[in-house]
Amino acid sequence: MLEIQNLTKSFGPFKALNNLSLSVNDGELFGFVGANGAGKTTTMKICVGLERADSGSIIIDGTEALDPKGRSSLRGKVGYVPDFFGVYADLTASEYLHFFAGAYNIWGRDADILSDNLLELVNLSDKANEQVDSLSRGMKQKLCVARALVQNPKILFLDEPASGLDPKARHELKEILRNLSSMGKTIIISSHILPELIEMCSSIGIINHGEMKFNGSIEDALALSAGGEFIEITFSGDPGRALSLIKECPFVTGAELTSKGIRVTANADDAEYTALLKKLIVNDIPVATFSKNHENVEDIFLNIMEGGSTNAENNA
Amino acid sequence: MQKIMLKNPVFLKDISIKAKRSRMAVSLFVINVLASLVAIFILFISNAGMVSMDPMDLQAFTWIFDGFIIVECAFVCLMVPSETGPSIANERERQTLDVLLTTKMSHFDIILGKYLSSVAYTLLLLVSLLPFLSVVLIYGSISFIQLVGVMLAVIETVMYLSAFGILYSTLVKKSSRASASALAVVFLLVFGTIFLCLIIHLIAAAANSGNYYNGRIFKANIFNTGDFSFFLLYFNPATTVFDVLDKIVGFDIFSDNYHGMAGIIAETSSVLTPDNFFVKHWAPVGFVVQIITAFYMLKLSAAKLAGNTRRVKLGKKNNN
Repeated sequence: MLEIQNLTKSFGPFKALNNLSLSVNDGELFGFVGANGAGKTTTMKICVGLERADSGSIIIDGTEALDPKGRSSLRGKVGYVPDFFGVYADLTASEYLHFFAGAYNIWGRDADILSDNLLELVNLSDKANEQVDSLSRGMKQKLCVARALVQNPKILFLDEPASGLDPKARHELKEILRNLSSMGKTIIISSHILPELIEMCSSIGIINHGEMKFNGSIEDALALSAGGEFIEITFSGDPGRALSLIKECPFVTGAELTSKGIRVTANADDAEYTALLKKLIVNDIPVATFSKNHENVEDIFLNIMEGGSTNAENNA
Repeated sequence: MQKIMLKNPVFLKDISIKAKRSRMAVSLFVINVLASLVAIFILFISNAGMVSMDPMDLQAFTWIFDGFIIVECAFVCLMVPSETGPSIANERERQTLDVLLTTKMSHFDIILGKYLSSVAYTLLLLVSLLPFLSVVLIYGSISFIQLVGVMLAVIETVMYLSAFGILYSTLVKKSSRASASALAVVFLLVFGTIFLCLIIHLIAAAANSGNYYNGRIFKANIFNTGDFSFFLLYFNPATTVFDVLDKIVGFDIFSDNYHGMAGIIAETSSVLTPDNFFVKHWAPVGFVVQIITAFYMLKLSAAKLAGNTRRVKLGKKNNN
């Protein structure tokens, strides 16, 4: 559905996108992750025709989006929710959708039906005649999603849609997006919070400084954390020589003091971990807890961002 | 035109929003109160004449009408920039422009919708003043046809100046700055063109110092190219309104034989004659020039709106 190849964009001396390539399959819910300023919004803006690229290619549903003719034909196929609400405070929710229906040449009874259906889809039917200004932040965001669906697009670009929403509104938004995904729409959703996307996306792309660091399934992303297994040991008293004892073990690859105790990384099996624990106890080290942990998704995100092994590089 | 307006969502949305806001009601109220005071003053003067049994001076009523139109034009010059300046800039500030640009509407349609809603709003205020303008009709000093003729000139002025306001709204990001820039352009068109015309004449006269020192700076007989700077005034809406007003209603202040711009040119130019086609038909030619200019300004605005999204090098491989 979406194929980006070697996309490059500079703002003066600043290179916002550097040979960025990614692909999203039909009907996929794709999470686009990156720190603030990584290039997510620029990529999305280029995809929807709001920004021009310096070079590269974007194929959406078989059409070159960077070609003016192609862009024009894609206007009915692409929906966009920017990272701000972009609503007219003086209109009612229904008038707002009618306005955008008119922008897609949908008028009269058709526009009425469309507006009602979209408001129902985003659970705002009871707010149809309320001023947009009086809606909560979450409701405004849902209205924006409804607006992006006016032309029944095949692909939706949502730029940080959950930003600033309370947990309830986030949950409702996620449900709407899952619902849209089940309707066969391809959804590209950006965020700088990976856990938020991992819950609902089938694949993710991680971008840093305008370069694609990872592009693949959630499972592949989590697999990258295999080497991120570690042992966390806490103590009920002075750990004494614990750190040197741990480092003596041949299977230990790293050990460091943390605020809680000692964090150990090792290429070991359960028997070797048992041996390590025995060694500490035999040496009168007051071990309180000894637990095997995995890095959390935030750590995975940071590792990939900081240049760990990347799927994008492997694919290249 | 009706189809263009009723099928333009931007126009319909803007008109709907403007109608909901209290600003429109307040503007209508203030303008009509001021116009009422003027109308009451006119009626007071005319009644005073009747009480004293003096014959009514109908010429005085035409002067009042002229004054009313001049005030109305001054109002247009102030109103149009404040109305059109924020139109696109507001969308940008409200961050709704990006969303609008991703729809199927062409950039020109967006601009046209903004332009038509601004023109319609200003015209609504002007139409509300028609009853007051019509006070002079009571005494028969001007006819209904004269009134319509002058109003058409004012409407054309609104359409012309609004196009500049829309252009500046696309060029300048902040709505307040866009309004200020549009106001500056209106002043440049009204006063700047006259000033420029004078400067060119002075330079032309200075090139012939004999003519310069004898004081007839506008009658440079040898170096007369300065006279053609008069055509710059086609871009000045004040000249077309003046031409219409003087020809239809009459000021009778420049020439006994010629009215409108032809009268002024008869007084000041040695090359252009009042019977020259372009001088004689100053208002119609001026209207054509101004409407073409307005159309070009709107096209330019649409191009500016599209400016950020046009040039792309397709499929170019980057080997950096």
